[in-house]
Amino acid sequence: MNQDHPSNPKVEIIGADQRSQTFVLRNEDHTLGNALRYVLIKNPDVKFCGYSIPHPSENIMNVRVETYGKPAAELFKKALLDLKDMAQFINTRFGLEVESYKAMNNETEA
Amino acid sequence: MATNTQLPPHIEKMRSRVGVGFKKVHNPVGVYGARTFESLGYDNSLNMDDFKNNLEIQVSFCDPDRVVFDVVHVDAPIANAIRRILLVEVPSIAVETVYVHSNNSIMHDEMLAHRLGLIPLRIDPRSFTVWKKGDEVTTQNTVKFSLKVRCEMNKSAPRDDEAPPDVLYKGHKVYSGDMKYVPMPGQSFAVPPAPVHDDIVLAKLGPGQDIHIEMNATKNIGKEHAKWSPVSTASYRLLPEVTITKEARGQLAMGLKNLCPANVFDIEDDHAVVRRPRDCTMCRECIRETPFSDHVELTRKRDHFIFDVESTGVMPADSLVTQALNVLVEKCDMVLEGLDTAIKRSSGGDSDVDFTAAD
Repeated sequence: MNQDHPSNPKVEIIGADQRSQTFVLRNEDHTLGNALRYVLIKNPDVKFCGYSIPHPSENIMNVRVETYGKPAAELFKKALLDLKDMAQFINTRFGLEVESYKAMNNETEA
Repeated sequence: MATNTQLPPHIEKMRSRVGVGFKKVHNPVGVYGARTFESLGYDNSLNMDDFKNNLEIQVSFCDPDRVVFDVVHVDAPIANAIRRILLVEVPSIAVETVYVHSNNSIMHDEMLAHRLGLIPLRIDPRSFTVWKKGDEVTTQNTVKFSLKVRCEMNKSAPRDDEAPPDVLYKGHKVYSGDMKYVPMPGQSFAVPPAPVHDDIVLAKLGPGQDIHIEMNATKNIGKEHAKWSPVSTASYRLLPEVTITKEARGQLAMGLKNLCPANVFDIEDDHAVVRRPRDCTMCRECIRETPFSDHVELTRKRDHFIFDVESTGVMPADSLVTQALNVLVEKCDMVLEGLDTAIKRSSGGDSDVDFTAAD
């Protein structure tokens, strides 16, 4: 299942200027694209962020990141870590809430 | 960035609410840019500590088939990612390969195979690996089932040609419950694999007809084929808000209460109050005509999502949500890994020019 093969890398970085780069992601769609764009534009260091899927039959997504000075890759990485953190946090909280719901309902039944 | 001040009320409303007008929806698109309100001294950026402090989740219904819960202070792209992953990226197990030994029913082989594929199977896919065409069939990636049925005349049936075929024949209907799990050597389950429902009619047979099929069920995701989608629906809606902008009394209040098909309003001390805003279907009846439209305003809260996830029965619905969030984490991890390799690759190459100093 290792899709990160040199001939078909998961991520490619295009752009010589570190402050404005395009990240080419393979095998990702709007699920991650829009979430990632959202986290990036929520970062005040990002000047511009947008994503596109140039053609529906190619599994390629471009995420463009332009910054006010920090390296784009750094902010891109931070966005991924934040998104991951959010998902994990929502998961933990959801688990707790479901648990307490089930506990409550078993009590009322008994 | 500037410390947070409150936005002016009309802008705050644009930011945090979706307006539902009679003829159009106002501000449907969320404004998420960190610096959008910078000139007003409002920080719209994402702060993980604030996110964690503000996040609210409330489960209002949960059973193995369905979970309904509220997620508050989360924005649409995140909620949508969860929904999309639930639909097409949480793995499940479904019949993939069908070997037809005999089928002389009127149902074509390919039609029958298609129907078999769509039957939800109660097997936990987490301990399985994905099988792809050409892979070896092992206990780790396949669950085998067989279906062997035959229809005969019912000798004890009354001699009446008008009687329904269920009475005249034995084994007239082929049900999903006729599918039998065939253990492979070394394969064992705590709960034997079986279809979620055993009363799905797969085909109908006439006397003398038979079906003998062996099938392999494998693990995959809904993106490959909808039969692997573990949910029947996974959706969210924004929390409806009904506001009484101008006091409505007496006849007017009574009229408003009777006008609403969802029975959102009540009357208290002779004036109308909003009692059950959650029941509002946004039918707009209350803002259709004066005088009521002068008194009521409909909005939706942009960051309050009411999720409704219905499982097909293959796994408990709440566990599907947990798995969906895990898939999102995995996706992030995969891209993070790819990003690291890409950075290493570009810093190792000498052709890259660094313009960091240029301005």
